[in-house]
Amino acid sequence: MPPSDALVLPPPPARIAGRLHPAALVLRPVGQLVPVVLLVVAGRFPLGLAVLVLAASATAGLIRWLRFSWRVEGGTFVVEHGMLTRQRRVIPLDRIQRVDLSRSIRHRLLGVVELRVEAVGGREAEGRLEALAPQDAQALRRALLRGEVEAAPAAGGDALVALAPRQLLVAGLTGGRVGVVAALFGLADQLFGDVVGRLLERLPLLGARSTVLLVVIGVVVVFVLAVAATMVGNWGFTLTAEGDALRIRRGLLQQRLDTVPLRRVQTVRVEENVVRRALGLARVTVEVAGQAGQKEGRETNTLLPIGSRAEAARLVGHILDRPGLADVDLAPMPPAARRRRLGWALAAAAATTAGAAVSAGPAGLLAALVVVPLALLALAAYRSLGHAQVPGFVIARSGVLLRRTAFVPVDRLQVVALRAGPGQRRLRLATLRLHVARSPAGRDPALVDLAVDDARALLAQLSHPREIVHR
Amino acid sequence: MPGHDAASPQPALSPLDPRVRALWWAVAALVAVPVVVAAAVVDLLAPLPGPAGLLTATAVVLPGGLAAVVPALRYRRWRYALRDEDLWIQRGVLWVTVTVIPLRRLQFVDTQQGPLDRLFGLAQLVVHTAAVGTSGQLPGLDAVEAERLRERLAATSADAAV
Repeated sequence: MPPSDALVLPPPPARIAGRLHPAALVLRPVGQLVPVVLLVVAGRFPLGLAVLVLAASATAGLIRWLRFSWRVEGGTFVVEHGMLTRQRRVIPLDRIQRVDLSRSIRHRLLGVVELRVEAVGGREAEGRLEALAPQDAQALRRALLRGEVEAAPAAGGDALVALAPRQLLVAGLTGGRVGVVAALFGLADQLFGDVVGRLLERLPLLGARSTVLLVVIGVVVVFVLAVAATMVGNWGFTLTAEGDALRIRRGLLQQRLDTVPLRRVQTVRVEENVVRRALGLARVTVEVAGQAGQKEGRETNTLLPIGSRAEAARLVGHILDRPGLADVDLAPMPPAARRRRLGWALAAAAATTAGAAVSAGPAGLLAALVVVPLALLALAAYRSLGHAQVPGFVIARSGVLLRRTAFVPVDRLQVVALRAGPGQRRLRLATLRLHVARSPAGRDPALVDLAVDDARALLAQLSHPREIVHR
Repeated sequence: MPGHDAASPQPALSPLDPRVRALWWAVAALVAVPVVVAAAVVDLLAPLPGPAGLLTATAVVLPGGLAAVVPALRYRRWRYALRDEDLWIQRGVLWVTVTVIPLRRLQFVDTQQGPLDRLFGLAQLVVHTAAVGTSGQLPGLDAVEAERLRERLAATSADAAV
């Protein structure tokens, strides 16, 4: 018999339903109507016609808003919408992987939140509610994740990570977001291609010094933009553990609230590029099962954009519920793997020297000096390889410029494959690839250049894990 | 023999149906013959400097040689074994891969038959798991055998949770 003064929590509401926030009426049409308005202002568009267009758009928007409804009932999330045809999507709560909240500038001006639901095997966000009042969004999120009624007020769980702007600056300075900025430049080139083309034509006239200066300025600009992009994207980064999930808050212009269910975590990775390794810093990412192809690449999976090696290790241990996992010593690969890499270095040096000798005559033989840095690189590549097996986990490390250490729970393995090329077969080496459920953009962890006998034994063993860690 | 668990050492792998080798030879010939003919035509009309017919000879040796050798090698390597708990597939000529697919991880099993497959009485079996990318592929199975395998695999209960 429970004591009479025991705290009795009310049962969670059996049914949550609603429409979109009225701000949705304004949210989408605004983007579509701005060009019309601009044209009218420029005098290129008859006012009467513009009014008609606006009225039609407003009516359509109203009908769409009236037709859109959602509800949570009977263990499913149901979204109904459609102007002419009625469309209903039913998502069983069991299949829901993530529930993300985000707010673009438009959302924040209107005081609403966008909610996205992703389910197992979805190609795109399966459910998308463009505008909800913040409290409704939070309540719906709780209902969708079937979180237990929180005994403590929703002040958030323990903050595992909280980054200050200074740390984000370090992240930007040491990171590799240049790719994003390069893409932006590509886009700008498409839009303003003729301008850039004319600029480039003028370059030879400027002379060598000015050209070099322009290039340097260009590089600096790209670098600064990359740093700024990192800081803005991760502004106020906070990672909290709340029950069965991890919550990530970040962003300055677009505030994001992402949720990562712990039971969907497939692999945890610690990444250290050359600069960060020298500074003792690292980054932690996770692969979550069945995530839709993300537009931002790995961003949505980052749990720690930058932190000390010790912080990264602690976080890994926390996520996988195995403290000290990241501190395990990794065994090196057999020496044959080093021979293999040195062989590549020699072959590359020989090819370069031959090419230089052919094009530049005997002076080209000096190119043979390139064998020194190449050999050092090969040795570093060998040293970066490492592996370890502990009960329930496999750890694989590789990579020279970007060292990646993957921690794979054995019960998350889908398929294990052993691969050996002709060079590897000759040296009695093989690569063991651990296939997990992951986003298409990621890569499967692999133990590269294991001794072939060990690889075969591991292949048989990992396909039938004796211990399944229930988490 | 390394002292690993006797749990599941590599099983004996059986080859594919021999007819698939003939099928691959047929496909390779279909590709190689036009190349040789084209090279011969070029040689006749606009011969390269050097010994006459060098281009044709190269075209016969290289693509012809590959067409003859590769299907046989491929057939020798491509093997599989279906056990109670897992499916082993070995494949590859230069890069040899041995893949182990635990049956509890299976999500879908498909059989496919291209026009040439039907001609030779063969079918292809493809199995999918939650892992992204290539899953298990078994071309050149006897059509009836492929169907039997598919039913047997479909009967195993897949692990619903990822």
